[in-house]
Amino acid sequence: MIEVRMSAPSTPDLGGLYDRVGRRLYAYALSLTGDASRSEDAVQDAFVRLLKYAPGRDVKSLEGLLFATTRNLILDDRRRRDVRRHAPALLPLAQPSGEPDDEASRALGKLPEEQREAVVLKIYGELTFAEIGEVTGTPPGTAATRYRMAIEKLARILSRNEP
Amino acid sequence: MTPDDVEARLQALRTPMPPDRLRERCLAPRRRPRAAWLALGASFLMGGLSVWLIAMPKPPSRPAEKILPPVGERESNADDPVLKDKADRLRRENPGMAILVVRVRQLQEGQFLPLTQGFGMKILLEPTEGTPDPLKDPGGPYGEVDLDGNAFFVSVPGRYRGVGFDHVTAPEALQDYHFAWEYKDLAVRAGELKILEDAIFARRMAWAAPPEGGSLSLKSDGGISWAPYPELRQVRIGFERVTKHPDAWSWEGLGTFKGECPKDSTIHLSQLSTLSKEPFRAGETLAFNLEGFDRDGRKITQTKERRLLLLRE
Repeated sequence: MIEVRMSAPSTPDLGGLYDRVGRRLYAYALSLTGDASRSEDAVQDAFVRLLKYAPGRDVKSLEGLLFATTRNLILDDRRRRDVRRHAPALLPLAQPSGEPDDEASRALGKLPEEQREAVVLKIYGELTFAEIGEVTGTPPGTAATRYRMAIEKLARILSRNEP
Repeated sequence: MTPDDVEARLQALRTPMPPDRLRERCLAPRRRPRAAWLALGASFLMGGLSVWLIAMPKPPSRPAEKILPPVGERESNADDPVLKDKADRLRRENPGMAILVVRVRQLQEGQFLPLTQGFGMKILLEPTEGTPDPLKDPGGPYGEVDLDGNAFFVSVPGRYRGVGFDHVTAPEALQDYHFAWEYKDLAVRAGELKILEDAIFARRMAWAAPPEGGSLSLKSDGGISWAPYPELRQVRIGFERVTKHPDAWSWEGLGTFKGECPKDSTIHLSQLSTLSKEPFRAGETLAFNLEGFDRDGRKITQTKERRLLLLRE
């Protein structure tokens, strides 16, 4: 049997994968944890699991797998630490000039977690609704609805702040 | 502000760059000890250091052969009074739970010696009921080795699939050693003491010739060799055909040799070709994987890396 291992087995491929997805994955982890250290750990563990589970498996999208694994690791970590209620994690956002956009970051933090997650995965994770659905375990339609509701809510929040 | 404005605004914003070290961590991924274990380890270290300053560390209280009998004598080890005492204490402290034991040994100069400090491991178990989710940490008990070379684990009774192990910590001196532990399915009752397979640290096997990227001659029946390893009785050599495609590599398993360790620690192409599902061809690249076993057939060690060699006429 011929086993084709896409990207996973060798360091150069892993490097390419990290270069494509590392920043997006880290942003997603940050949006869930609000903690740089936990986010780094989750991303690293996701790569460890990728090497463990991806070879030989029918993996449609290694990127999607990384996002899903990162999410599961963070949720497992929360459960392990018995975190039932947690403060919304603020994802630091900045203008291309480097100037922080705290207003957008805070507005994002006011969304319900599943809506915030949909926005982060869509805009900063650069995933399709189908991929978001796979990551979060929801139908693509649900992911799209959450995203639309989130954007509308953000529009209301940010409009209130307008001068 | 309209939803379109919001989307445009968010899309124009940048998320933080991950630190450079994250790339290194992801490219050489090793399971890291959980922060909680690190903290626990640090507190134990400080405590242990204090104790050590007061009293010099003692050698294992009993000779190695008593602590770590061969596989065939494992059942008698359950009557070991020290092990039994500790298991009884754990049972009293954890009513309704089962006690699992893994004996930890290191192969040094032909002998399996107990590893008495610096080792910890989490056993990953999944209940046999239900469908496992490969993306979820199955969880399981964690144990650390004691001065007799036994690691104890307190487990909820039940029937489990052995999934693996995690969070392995080892003394600095053994960091480059190969760690082997054969995990199996498990059924334990409340209060039961169960001795699992031994965990073994052994130095790795090392390839000798040809060097990585070298070649093997089909015509002169080239051989691949490794550094002698007297403790091993059997070797298993897996060989795969490696093909590079534009965006991927394909690895096609061709066959496996398993047999007595050759006296000259060399295996020749002719010995492998009879086991190969397809004939060897000049110009193709083969990857070789080498593992070593003891007289009881237990896997002891392997090479750190596969060796890729080109076949030539």
